[in-house]
Amino acid sequence: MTKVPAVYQLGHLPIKDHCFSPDRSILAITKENMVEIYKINQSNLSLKPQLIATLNDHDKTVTSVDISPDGSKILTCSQDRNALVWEFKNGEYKPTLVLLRIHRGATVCKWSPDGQKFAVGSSDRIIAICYYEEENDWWVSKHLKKPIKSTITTIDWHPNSILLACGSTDGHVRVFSGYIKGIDSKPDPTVWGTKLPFQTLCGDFINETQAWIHGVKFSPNGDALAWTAHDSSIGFVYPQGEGLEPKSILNLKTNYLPFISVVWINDSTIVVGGFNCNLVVFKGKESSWKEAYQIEEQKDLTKETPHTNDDEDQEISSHQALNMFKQLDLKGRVNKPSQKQSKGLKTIHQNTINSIRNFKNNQVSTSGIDGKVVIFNV
Amino acid sequence: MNSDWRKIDIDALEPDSHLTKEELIPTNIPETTKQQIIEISQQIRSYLSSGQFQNALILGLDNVPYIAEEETKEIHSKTIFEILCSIKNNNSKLSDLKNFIIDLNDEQQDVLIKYLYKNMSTDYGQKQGGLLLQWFEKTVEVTGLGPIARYLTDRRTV
Repeated sequence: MTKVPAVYQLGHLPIKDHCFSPDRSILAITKENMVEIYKINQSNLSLKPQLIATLNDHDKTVTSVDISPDGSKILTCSQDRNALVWEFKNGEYKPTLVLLRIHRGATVCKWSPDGQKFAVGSSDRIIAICYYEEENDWWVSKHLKKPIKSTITTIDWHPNSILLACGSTDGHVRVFSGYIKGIDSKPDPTVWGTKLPFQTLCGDFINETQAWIHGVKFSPNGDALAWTAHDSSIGFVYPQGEGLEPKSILNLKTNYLPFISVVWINDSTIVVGGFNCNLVVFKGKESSWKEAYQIEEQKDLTKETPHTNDDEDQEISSHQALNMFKQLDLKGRVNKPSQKQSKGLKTIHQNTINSIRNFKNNQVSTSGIDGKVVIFNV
Repeated sequence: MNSDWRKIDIDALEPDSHLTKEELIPTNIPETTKQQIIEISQQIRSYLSSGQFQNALILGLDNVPYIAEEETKEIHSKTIFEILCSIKNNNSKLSDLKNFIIDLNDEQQDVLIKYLYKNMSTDYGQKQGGLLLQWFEKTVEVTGLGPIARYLTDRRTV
């Protein structure tokens, strides 16, 4: 089996978020104000996906997309302050508006694992927990507000569909209860807490730098939480019950560019990626975490590439010319661009990886600013 | 088109939920006084005059006045600058700098990068720009890009 089952170049616009349906037959990606739906050939992943629909009801940048656990509904949210739930009826996707009641852009949205609810994070210092109200035939929301005071950048549901983790630009990672009476059955106690009425704050953690949080994710068993921050570090917390100090809180500083997204492969393995354009695997447990390996070979960005003596009169591309100016600006001298350098990064992604998702066992899918969606074996 | 609506303060109705500057700085750091920093700088100078460069560097980088008066921060920044100059003047080879950096722990390396940037912004630092850039180059060679990311993001400024 090859290391990379599929690389899809879907245009050249940045992809902020992507999502495969649970049966992996459909791929949804965000592209400016639209969401594009592609059909995937499940028996041969490497074939080019086929565009089957474009959802364009949002009138500002779409920030996040998620497909419900049963695969029937597509959730999108956008900087136009709205979230929409799309269902496939009579040959086309029909949107239902969600009553979010927020005054600033929605930044991120996620279905709960049981598919009964979803959460929408916003720059209005609010997370809206949304659920379906049958008598009115629309989606309504309850707000998680206190003590959030900054933009929510990332959210993730606990496997029990009650607890919700979020990260924000003030450097806080918080865990809330998103329990909705009448929708959820009484939750079993977890390491995060026993009594969980709506809006209970079950945990509040910060890195020492208080840098922006980019990604949060519960471990598959739900007993740990990992997060990535703009200070290039990865955080972990292992709580042990209500009112008790966590068993351990770790902050692993790395020397890569900051990571944006994190996913768990199993309870002792995570994959992170972001501004370094590559995926890195970390392994560990509550006592310590360590880097295991990088998925792709990558050249060290801090080392200068040796330059070869090319013919003086060789024509150069605009990309090479730009690089020459950059070098002149940074170092005060110009290295003649060689053919090798002009090919860009050694990694598949040529720019920041914006989101990582679990694809199958030991497989993850990524999407990035370079307009690519890639499936990797871990 | 009139774009005045962009200037409307949409937060005016919710004054409570504003984030203050203080809330963004970690609360568990004790304040450093001018007196403490002056004592440390004296200790550092005595290390430097007796040739204990590594000790001087470590003492300087371990005692960072994150919560302190601006003046106190300046004094410490100057002290670090003196250490860097002194090490460079007494070690002619560039590879020697690297050995000093390798012997620092992660935290100290992060702090070193912060002070390199800080000193680059001062007049006296700019006169010695080459020296600071040599230190910077060698540090990043040892550490990678992490400390730069942390310099840019850390709310605890030096």
